[in-house]
Amino acid sequence: MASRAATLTEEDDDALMARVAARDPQALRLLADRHAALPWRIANRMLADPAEAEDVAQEALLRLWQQGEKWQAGQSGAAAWLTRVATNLCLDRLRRRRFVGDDAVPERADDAPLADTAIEADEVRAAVAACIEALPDRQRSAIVLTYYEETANRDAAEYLSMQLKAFESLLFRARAALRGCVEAKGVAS
Amino acid sequence: MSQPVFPPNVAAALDRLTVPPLPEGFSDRLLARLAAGDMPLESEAAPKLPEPRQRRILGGRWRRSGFIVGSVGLLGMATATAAAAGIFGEPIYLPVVSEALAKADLVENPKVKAAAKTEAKPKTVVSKPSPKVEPVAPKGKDAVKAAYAQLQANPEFKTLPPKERMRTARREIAKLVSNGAATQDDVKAAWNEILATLPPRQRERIEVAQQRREARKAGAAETSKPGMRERQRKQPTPEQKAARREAIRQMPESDRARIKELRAQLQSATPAEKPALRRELREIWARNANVGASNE
Repeated sequence: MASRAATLTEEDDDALMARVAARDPQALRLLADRHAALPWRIANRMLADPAEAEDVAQEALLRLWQQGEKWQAGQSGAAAWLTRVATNLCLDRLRRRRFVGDDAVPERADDAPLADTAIEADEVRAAVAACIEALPDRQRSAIVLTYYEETANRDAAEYLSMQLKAFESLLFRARAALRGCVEAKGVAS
Repeated sequence: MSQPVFPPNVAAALDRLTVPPLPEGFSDRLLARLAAGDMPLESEAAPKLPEPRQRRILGGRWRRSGFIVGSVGLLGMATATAAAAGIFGEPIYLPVVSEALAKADLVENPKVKAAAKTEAKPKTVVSKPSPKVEPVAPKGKDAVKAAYAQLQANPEFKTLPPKERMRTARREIAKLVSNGAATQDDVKAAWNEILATLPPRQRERIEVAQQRREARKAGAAETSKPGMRERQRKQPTPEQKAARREAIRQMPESDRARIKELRAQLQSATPAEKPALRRELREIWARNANVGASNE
């Protein structure tokens, strides 16, 4: 464990990606240990489904494995790359959910043990999750990225392939809607 | 962030939405998927690999407009510099560019040429003929003389018939008088000076005409020209005419016929022919006068 921690601090993303390009699975493991929490958190908040969130996080890392040969050192880093990929995977899943229809979607709130416990444990948390889920897809991702992940507006706009002004407008609407929803639910005390 | 994006109570509620830690065995399951070859499909509607960050030169309307304006400006500056450097031929003087080039000893400053051009410009303006006759600035008799000189210099004026020329000149002088540029005395004085510069024959004609006008104004009966007066003086009296007719009747037939013929010829003869004809007439008269005298 100590040697693994040492490796985590020793080798930077570019070095690990060079090993990924050389098809070293242990390099991917190290990258997952270092960065997997990021796509996990984003997916969890955007999809409100831990199983799906894990799937998104794994898929993001597997894509990183696939892109290993094309990786260019000295760029924005694996964390930024994973944030962008995870956000877009979530948006893609949300879109697919809409097309499949609510009947085909599993009853996430009921099936997810984490959500059940959350509702039982903290009514506020459930209300906030519901408010975030009620937001349009892009607004939801804007809130998750800027508020929870503290991503700069410029970077978030880039992840969503938007102009900065358009993103700021979107974020303004998202914040207003979320605030209105939270206050309406009476959980903001 | 300078200003909180949410009120504290809303932010506190939002902060309650925590995420559990990554499930145990995540990395193992990931590597198992990798080993099993359970890879995401490339064709899936998943995001593409992000491009490395690069400045978007032509992205956005403002950037595009700025790019176009900048390009046009640069092109203009390049053209101006080329023109000032003489790449298109003769170097052209451009206020800042030419001086900068001259300072850098790249090209001579063509300012002198430009100055020479500007000096030459009024010259061409002065030499430009103006067909319209306008009143001149000088006052008094100088104004009249200047107006006369202008009229004389005008080719259109020269082509006019004499009467029309006189009328135009009078009109111009009347304008000067009505403008207050000259008085009648100024006109007379100027006219006398102009007359002194004219050829003698022309001056004589003008003076006679002037005298006649003055005489007419004074009510004198004399209206004939000097030549006419001479001719009137030479006109024979009725008695003389009768005596002449009698003398012709007494002449031989051949002389009478010749006198008639010569008189007819005088009507249509040129000035060069007339003296010879008159001489012959005088000879006939002289010959017959001697005969008449000898008969008496």
